[in-house]
Amino acid sequence: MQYDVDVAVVGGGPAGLAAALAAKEAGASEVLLVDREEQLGGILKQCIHPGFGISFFNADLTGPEYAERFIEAINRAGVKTLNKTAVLSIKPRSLTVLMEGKGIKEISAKAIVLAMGCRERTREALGIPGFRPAGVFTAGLAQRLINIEGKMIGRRIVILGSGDVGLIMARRSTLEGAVVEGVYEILPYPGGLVRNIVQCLEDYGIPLYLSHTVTFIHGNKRVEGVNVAKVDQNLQPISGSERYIPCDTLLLSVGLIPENELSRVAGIEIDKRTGGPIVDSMMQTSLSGIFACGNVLHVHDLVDNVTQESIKAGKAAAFFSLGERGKREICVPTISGKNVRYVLPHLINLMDDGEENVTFYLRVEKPTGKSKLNLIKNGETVASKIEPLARPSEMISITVNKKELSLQKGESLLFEVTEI
Amino acid sequence: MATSNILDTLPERVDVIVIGGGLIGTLILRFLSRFKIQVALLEKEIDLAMGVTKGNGGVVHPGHAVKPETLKGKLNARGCLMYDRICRELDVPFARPGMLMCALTDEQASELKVYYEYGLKNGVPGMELLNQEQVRAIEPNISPEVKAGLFLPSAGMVNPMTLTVALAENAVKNGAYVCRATEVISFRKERDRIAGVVTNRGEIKAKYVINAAGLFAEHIARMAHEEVNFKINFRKGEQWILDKEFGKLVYHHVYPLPTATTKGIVLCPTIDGNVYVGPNAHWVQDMEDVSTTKMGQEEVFREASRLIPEARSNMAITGYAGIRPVAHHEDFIIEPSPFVPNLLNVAGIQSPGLGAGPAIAEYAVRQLERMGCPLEEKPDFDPFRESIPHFVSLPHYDQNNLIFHDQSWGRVICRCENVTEAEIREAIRRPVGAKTVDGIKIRTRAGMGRCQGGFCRSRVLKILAEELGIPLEQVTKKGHGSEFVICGTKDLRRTEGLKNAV
Amino acid sequence: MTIKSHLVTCIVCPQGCQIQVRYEDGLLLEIKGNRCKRGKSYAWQEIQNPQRILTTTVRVIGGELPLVSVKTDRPIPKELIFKTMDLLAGIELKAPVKMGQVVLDNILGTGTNVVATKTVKKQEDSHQR
Repeated sequence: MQYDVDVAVVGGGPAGLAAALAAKEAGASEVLLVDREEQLGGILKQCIHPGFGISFFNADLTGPEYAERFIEAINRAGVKTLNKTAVLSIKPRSLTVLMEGKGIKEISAKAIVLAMGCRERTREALGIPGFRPAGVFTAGLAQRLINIEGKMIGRRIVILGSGDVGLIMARRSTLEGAVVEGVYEILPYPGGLVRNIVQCLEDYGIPLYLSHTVTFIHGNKRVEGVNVAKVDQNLQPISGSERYIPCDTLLLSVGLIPENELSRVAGIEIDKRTGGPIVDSMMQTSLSGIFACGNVLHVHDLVDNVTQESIKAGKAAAFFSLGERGKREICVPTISGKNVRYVLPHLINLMDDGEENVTFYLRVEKPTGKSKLNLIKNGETVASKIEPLARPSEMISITVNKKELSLQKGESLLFEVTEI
Repeated sequence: MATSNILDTLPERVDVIVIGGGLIGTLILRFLSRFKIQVALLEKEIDLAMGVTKGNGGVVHPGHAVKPETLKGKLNARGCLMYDRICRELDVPFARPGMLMCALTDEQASELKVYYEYGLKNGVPGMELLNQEQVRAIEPNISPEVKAGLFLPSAGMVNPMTLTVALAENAVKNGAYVCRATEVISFRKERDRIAGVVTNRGEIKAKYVINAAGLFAEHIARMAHEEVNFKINFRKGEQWILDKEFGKLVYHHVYPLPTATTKGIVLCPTIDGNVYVGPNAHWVQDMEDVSTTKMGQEEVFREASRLIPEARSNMAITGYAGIRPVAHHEDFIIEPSPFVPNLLNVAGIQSPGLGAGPAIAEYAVRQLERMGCPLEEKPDFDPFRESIPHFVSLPHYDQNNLIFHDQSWGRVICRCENVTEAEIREAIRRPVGAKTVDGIKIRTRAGMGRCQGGFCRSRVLKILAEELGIPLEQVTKKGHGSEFVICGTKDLRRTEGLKNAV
Repeated sequence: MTIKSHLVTCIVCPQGCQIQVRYEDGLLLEIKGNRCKRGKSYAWQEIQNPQRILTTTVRVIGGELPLVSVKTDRPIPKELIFKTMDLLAGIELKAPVKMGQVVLDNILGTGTNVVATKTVKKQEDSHQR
């Protein structure tokens, strides 16, 4: 067993798989992928629905199929894997892990890629008043129970949050015989893709209530019902609009949070808006030799983007481990301007990192119709893209040639989205 | 529902029965297990600490905020000082962060002296009256409105549920019975004495009965005799726990001055590294109303921010409510029933029940002796109990040893709290072991972290099902009626038929 | 001989055009609201013969996992979804199950198969304690 590697990747989900493969293909000779579960694939193992790989593989695959392609590829490429291994802490050049059956070990790695994914926002974090019965599940936990453990979670379900996971679970539960009473969304617009609104709710006659939230959970032992209420523009429940809905299950699809416990403890700088590390255009964090990609960096909606981002991180980690590139020396910051909630990467490396282009990922603050994304340097637009529609739930990306941007030290690149 | 394989053993006959498996019941049980008598504790829920104890915030009161002439006053300070030894013997984390009682007005500042006097009379050590700068110096986030403070270094913090389980484990080690899922239905009397306690699982003959049934103390007393010389009312308290990220919001237990009925809304560091905020206090009729409310949350944080302005509800990771059993005269009741000579009532144990706890148990046992129960000490009483090791915190040598014998020590189930599979199995296999997901939580912390079980829940359910020999559908959160999953993924369609035809 | 009118939400691209389709006896009369050609053909297809890919799970006996995820290898008519679910509920596969393996062939005469999307190996006894 090798405890001295060139690149170590933390997390064997889509991000980790792509990063490990890319690192190996970029020339790192010892690449180790560490995952705490029995099988690789991360969250993809339970995402049995299609929609994965439409742009990357030009195919409409299910989650497990998408994962399998990468698992086969990393095995062929000679990436080493450590399953059933939990990473307890990281710092530049080393990881401390707990290997099932072997105990705590130190792994030296010239470069580390963080790909831990995210966790789900909980009922407790939302502070929904009421009792604390069994029957309140986050959508991902419900998905795991239904698709992997083979157990149904309830007969009559209310779903809070119209994010994709919630919509997918609305369909899944209905197919398996439960009644989904409705999906309640606190914002005035849905959180998931249109495709899912149609194929998960409309197809099954499941109503979507916008500008609504759950205000109380009833039931001491198991959920007996919930109160829902309409909300005003400040997202506060409107008194008098409360309604009681009998049900035995409440599913929560109310947000994903990048899982950066390890990063925080290591002292990596975290961006409060994304919940993930602050990175440069090589996906390197504030700690030298530690890179981040995938949901741990910022929550994605399409796995294809996760893959692209992770390939970049894997490559950069490989080059760093080979001593070829990677000091975060001269960087230009990106700035989130009008209607941009956040843009990644936070910093653009000016020195040569082997990449001609840089891809930016951003999300808008509020939904708009046909809009123009402008990249502005010194008051001048240096690049732009038209989006027929801009939604916070759909990440926007733009790839630009670095030479065309011709950024200089001391400058900054402003991102704005304006409706046209 | 076949659960016979997961029920605790019920003896046929003992000397003393303790009714109520909360902190007080288990403190008494453990105390009694020092003597050469047979003792059994009966708890109607599937696990211990599911009643009053569950709502307790973990503050071990020093004993200054209670009137000296009350039973509370007599027992609080003494109990508080007994904690170091008990927690060391039982391997339960305990610390003394100290308490700061804060005056917000000049009038309150003078009133501090009253509590100082109480403290002196009650035997509270090391008290100090502090002026505004001194308060600020030791509690930097305190509101500038706080004019003065009374500092009590003996105030402690402990996890009351952890302690309850530890007490029970040690009592069992020393020969006591702990019978959970065992509800008292009636008493079989012989003339005016209780001869047997009739439960849902059969009768146990006993010479003495100790009623430590918390919210049900009056109910139990009335089962024994239609006349009861006390009344229990219920006061609900909502409280919130702040993320560890805000663990340094307060260094000591920060308290306002108490009112006639409540110690007030407070901010306290917990032994687990969080901050506890609350509780409010409102009378309720329904003793099962442990719901949190929006208004309650607003009230708690509004009051709390008068002492610590930074405290905000979005810092909370969870909230819950507890119900206090309040005796008609607001004091403890630890005395034999005047109507049933072998029934000892230990009732109305609300704040400072935790602080006074060990002294309450001691006092109750003295009462029992006076009632005629012979108490001869066992020479081989073993006061020590070891907690389940937290694998990742152990030295390498111990870790390697554990893994050599059992590989599941190396399998992390709860990522947020780094709890391994072996710890979870141990929590189930021990005497008075976990039977539910909540039971696993209080014995190992699995599921108590940031993701609140999002990752580990499905794995914990499987482990419980395996260890208890029951199907996954029968694994519960907190006992019968709180099952998580209802059937196999394909079974709902088959039993419920076609729904929502497209 | 009646003119019908239906609103279809297009899913071909994220814009989600609301497309109004007017038709009579299987003949398309008018399509309005689409911004591109793909939307037009999607909307008409949705009216005439809405089809969906079904993904679900099927029980496995003796495998590392109790279920294997499956999908229809092509879209099937929407109205056959629940019947297909019922058929699949009655199936129990013996491990090992290979990815791509046909689990149910020619669903209700459509010529479409249900295939496994995951590999489930046989359960090893050694992992039990």
